[in-house]
Amino acid sequence: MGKYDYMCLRARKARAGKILNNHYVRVLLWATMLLSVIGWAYLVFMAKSPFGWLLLSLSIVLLMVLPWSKSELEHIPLGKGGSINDVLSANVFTVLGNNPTPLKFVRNIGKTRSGRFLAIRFGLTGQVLEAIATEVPNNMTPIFKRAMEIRELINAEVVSGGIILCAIIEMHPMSDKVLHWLKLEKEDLYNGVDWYNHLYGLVRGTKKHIRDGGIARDLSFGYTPMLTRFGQNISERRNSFARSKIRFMSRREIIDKMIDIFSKGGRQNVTLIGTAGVGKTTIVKAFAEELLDADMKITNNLKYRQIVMLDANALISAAGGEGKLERLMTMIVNEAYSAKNIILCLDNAQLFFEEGVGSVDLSNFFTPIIEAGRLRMIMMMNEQRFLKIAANNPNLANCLNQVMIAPTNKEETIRIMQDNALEIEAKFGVVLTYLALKEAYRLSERYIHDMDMPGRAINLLETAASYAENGLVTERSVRVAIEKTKGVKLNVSETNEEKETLLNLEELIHKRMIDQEEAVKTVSDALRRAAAGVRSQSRPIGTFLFLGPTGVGKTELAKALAQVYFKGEGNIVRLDMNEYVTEGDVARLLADGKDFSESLVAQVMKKPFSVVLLDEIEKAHPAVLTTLLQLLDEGILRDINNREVSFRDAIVIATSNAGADRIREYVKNGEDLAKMKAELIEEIIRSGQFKPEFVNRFDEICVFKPLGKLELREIVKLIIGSVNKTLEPRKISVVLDDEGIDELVRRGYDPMMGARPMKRIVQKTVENIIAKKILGDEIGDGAVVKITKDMLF
Amino acid sequence: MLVLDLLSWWYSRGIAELVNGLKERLRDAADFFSIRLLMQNFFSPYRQISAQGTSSLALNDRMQAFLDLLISRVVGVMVRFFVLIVGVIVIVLQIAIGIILIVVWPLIPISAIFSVVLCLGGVVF
Repeated sequence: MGKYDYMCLRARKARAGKILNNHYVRVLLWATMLLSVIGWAYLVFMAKSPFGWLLLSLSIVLLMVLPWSKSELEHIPLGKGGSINDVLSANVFTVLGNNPTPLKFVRNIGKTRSGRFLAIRFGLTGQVLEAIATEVPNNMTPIFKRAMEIRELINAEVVSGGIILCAIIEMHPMSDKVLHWLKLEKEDLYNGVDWYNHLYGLVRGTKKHIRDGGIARDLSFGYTPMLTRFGQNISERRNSFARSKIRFMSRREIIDKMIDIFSKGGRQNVTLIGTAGVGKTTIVKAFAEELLDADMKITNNLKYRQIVMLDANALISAAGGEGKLERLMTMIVNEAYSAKNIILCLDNAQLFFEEGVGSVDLSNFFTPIIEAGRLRMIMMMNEQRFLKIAANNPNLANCLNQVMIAPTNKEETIRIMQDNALEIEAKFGVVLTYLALKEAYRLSERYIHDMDMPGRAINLLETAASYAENGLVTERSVRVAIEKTKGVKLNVSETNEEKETLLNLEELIHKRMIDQEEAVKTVSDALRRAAAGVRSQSRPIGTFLFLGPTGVGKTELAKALAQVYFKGEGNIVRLDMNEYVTEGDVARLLADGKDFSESLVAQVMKKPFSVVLLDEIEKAHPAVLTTLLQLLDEGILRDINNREVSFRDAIVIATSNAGADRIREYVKNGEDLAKMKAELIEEIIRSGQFKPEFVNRFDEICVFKPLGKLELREIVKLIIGSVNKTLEPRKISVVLDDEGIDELVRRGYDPMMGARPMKRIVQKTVENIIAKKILGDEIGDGAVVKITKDMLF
Repeated sequence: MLVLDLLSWWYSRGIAELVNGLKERLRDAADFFSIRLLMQNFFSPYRQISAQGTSSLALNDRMQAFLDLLISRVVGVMVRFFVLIVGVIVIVLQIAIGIILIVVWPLIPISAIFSVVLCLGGVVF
């Protein structure tokens, strides 16, 4: 490998380059050179002194030094040997002293561009780096050796500061622990180095002049005033750098296909089909950039063509009617055709092929134009829209050259986010960390459903920029962005208030429901596990089947949970499963929110952090239950558009009266319900009410026992409490004596209906009494109304 | 050591970069003045004005369309010719400067030494 040599030629060139390429030094050199020339002229021609030739000699040397330092000393060529001195970047040479050590290096990491980049993106503060470096053996030789190996592994040109930093971390005696603590893998660090190299390449690329045809390029092409008015020439917007973002084979192939279609004969149209966010517009922009690049190897009949994106809204509002619109479109199409260099682009092409708000059906206008195939057109739409258009107008669909665009995978998405990082950072004045990118991918995949990759991850990253801390967008910023925009809870409970709520969950729930200790404890435990972060992330927070007779508190427990933990009963998604009794109802369960806003998936998309209550589940059709299996198992359902909807932040509770008679029988016989639970479940399965695979999918099955008179007394007190809460604004309070309570229990007790009739009884009696007293001016604000048994008759 | 490196660069990569830079500048100039495009479309109608002709069969209309197209082509040729001439002049100038630079480049280090010799020889004008 060869030893690091402070005095090797590359090291000396690097140090000389650092001095000579300093802006002030260069100004000084230029000034000296000019003064020397003036001095030479004065001395030789006017003062008649031969020493003027020395000044000329000096100015010639400076004339040689200036281009040499800019070329050779700024980009020092790699050495031919295999030693570290042959591959170290110039930047690192200037940082490493005569006797470099890991500690000295990390202290100067900010002076190397890639090292500084890596340290910031991975949140490696000076203290962290020093702590790591002090544990590493005080010898750079093995670090350089590892750095050279990493360079080969990631195919980097030079050993940069970032690579040395990777090597230092890897050489730590407990590097796995260090990486674990940093929440990183080795590959993440390598990706970071690659990220820097790519961005550096992009920045260097922007300095390169792009040949775009020159001042007389458009002389042979027609004027386009209508297109300028109703469209946007995306070829004119040069600074999108869309082409630099197309660095994957999958995307490159799409552009090649577009070039191929437009270069050959046949119908001159391309229909890009893909969900929102897959990058259709970026691909068109990149295509536009390639057409205007004189160095691109494309046919002459395609070179310098410009893409104009039509604005549907501007057209519709300017035309003011279908007939007029068609006339306007005729003028625009004629203009585009006559100009000879225009490719018309219809973004959201469905706006031109469907009748609706902000859209108009021009299929009859466009079909013959597309069929004739003489005017070049690009259309963009999603698959659903394309299928709809194809169903309505098969002729049109047959004429379209379809190019499908698939969403990017994880690796591609993260790289695309890296490419977009500079734009986002400039726009929001922040710095994005690597972990923020990874988190944006993970969370957008889970919570953002109306877009696809990479768009949804980029969108989330932009949202997270608003939650940056000290100018840094970290994984936490991304989580906060999702929490704020989607209403989910991702961070492990941090505040004392939250912890207190979780620790006293049972007590808080019992403030609004009586008894059913087992069920309350089971769901409370599930929530505590979720809040502490010790639950499976690939399933719902908890899935429970509540079995028991009517009116024992099954639904009430679900509501209590929503109230206490999910911050309000509004965060409950309730489905009465007796409305899903036919096979066809599966479609309603999975319907798109646009078509049926009450569908299960649409509601959970809106409120992912909620209690999903499936009431009277036994009444649902078996096909509906089969559909729910994936939800219970993986916390995922696919909607009618095949979009994944996550239930992984929800508690799923299914309630059922199945086995209610048997439960009553057990209680009547004095059996312990907990011991009889297995037998009860077996019996329910045997009776065919539920299939075993459905029952087994639940985390817990909670059996609710029928309420006795003692529990009903407590329930009466709770109901009276809620009456008092209603009267709170007038400071009127109701007090019911023990005999009164007993009387209400006597009247409201129904072993078959549980506590359900009790609220009605209280309404009929207590609430009526209060109402009459208020209306009869018997009581005023602040009164205490004592109700006795006699008054209840 | 660094002086030797400077001289070595001057006569190898330095001169190569000079030639490459010159080539790039010539390409840039040719692109800026659209030389290739102008030659390809020298006789095309200016801005496609009147390029569509007419669908009428009447002789008068056809004559009128022909005349319009002819005028459009003549205007196109004139504009293109003017741009082409300016472009060619710029390119020729660049080539001339480039040739001078290529010839002078190897002589520059020698002239530094020659200046010292002139000093030692006490040459003045």
